[in-house]
Amino acid sequence: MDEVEAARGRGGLNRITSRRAGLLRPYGVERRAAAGEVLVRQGDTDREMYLVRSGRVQISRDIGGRRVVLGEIGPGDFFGEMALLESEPRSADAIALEDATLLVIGPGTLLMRIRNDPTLAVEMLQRLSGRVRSLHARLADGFGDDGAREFDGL
Amino acid sequence: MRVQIDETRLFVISDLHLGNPSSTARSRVVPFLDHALDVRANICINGDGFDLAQTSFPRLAGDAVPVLGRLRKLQESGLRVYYVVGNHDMALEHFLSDLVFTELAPFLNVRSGGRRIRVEHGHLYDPWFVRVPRIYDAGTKLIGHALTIVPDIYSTYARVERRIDSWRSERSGTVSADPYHGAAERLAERGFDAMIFGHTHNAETVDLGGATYLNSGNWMRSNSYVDIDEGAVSLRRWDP
Repeated sequence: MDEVEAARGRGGLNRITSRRAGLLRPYGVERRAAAGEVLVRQGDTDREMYLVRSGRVQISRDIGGRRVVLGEIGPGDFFGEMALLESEPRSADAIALEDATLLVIGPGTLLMRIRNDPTLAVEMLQRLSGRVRSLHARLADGFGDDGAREFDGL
Repeated sequence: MRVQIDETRLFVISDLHLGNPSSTARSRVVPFLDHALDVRANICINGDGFDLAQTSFPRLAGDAVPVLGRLRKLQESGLRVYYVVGNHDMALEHFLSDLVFTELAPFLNVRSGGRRIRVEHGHLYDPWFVRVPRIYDAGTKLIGHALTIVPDIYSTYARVERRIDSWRSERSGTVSADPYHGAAERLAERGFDAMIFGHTHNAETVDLGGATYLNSGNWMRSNSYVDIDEGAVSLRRWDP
């Protein structure tokens, strides 16, 4: 078994190195964050969503003066989509737990991104569906057996 | 639908086009699957494994049985078999999803050795398929009839495609004018370390500067595959 480096006879590994930075803007912009940096703050009214390319980010919110950690996300995950899709203030804080690289997508670039990267829409829907399922399960737990039956019928 | 998977060793093959009058994949893919069993590699068929768009049904029946048998053997041995849907097998989606030994998905995000790898057939980035689907479909069927009469037309078609692609690259001065390379760049911007497509039938490896695009080629007349091994990704040719 030989490694095939260029089956189309282009004489070895092809290289593309110069275009990415220039073309990134129509599809979102790259942002680098240092560990501890606050990326979005609860109540802010900016509208971008963030895709985590590297590093880890903690999502937390203030509930009655108490800081509640909602989760940690890593490469491939995203946050901030609720503010983008609903034009509502940020519902939670996002803080880089370590040096991180993110792709920032604004309302104007979302459709362009999905048009050229359509599987992003499927990944977003899948994750949002997972969150709805998780919330349903927690609500049903809270209602107890009778409440769960009533809830299922909603 | 499960698109996030963790695998240590995965072989990615695509474009077998079993059932297509031009496909000679069966004679090579069966021993290749035996090899995967020997080295304990999981298998991903990255689209167009079966061909309904240009099929000959007697041919499809003859080709599919031994291949499905080998896939079942892999699955019974504890290996996993994934199937990513392509444009020639979309109509088989429900049939394939009922085959309990395959995990069917529109694409896969593979975590391996700490790296993130996208496996996708790639037809969504074919300008003809997206912009003029009816003409694409009619053209595909027309070529299918021609292939039934003269199966070797495929070789001529592949040569013409390669010429056009080379000419387009030379004219633009950069290989990244290719829509598949552009699509791979969009995925690299999202943090994927490697992107593996099929669809074009042209096996290639392209360095995108920090990420790698690979095309697993085809098994219609060739035998290239992508080997994912603890995050390392390489394009190889099966040589029994």
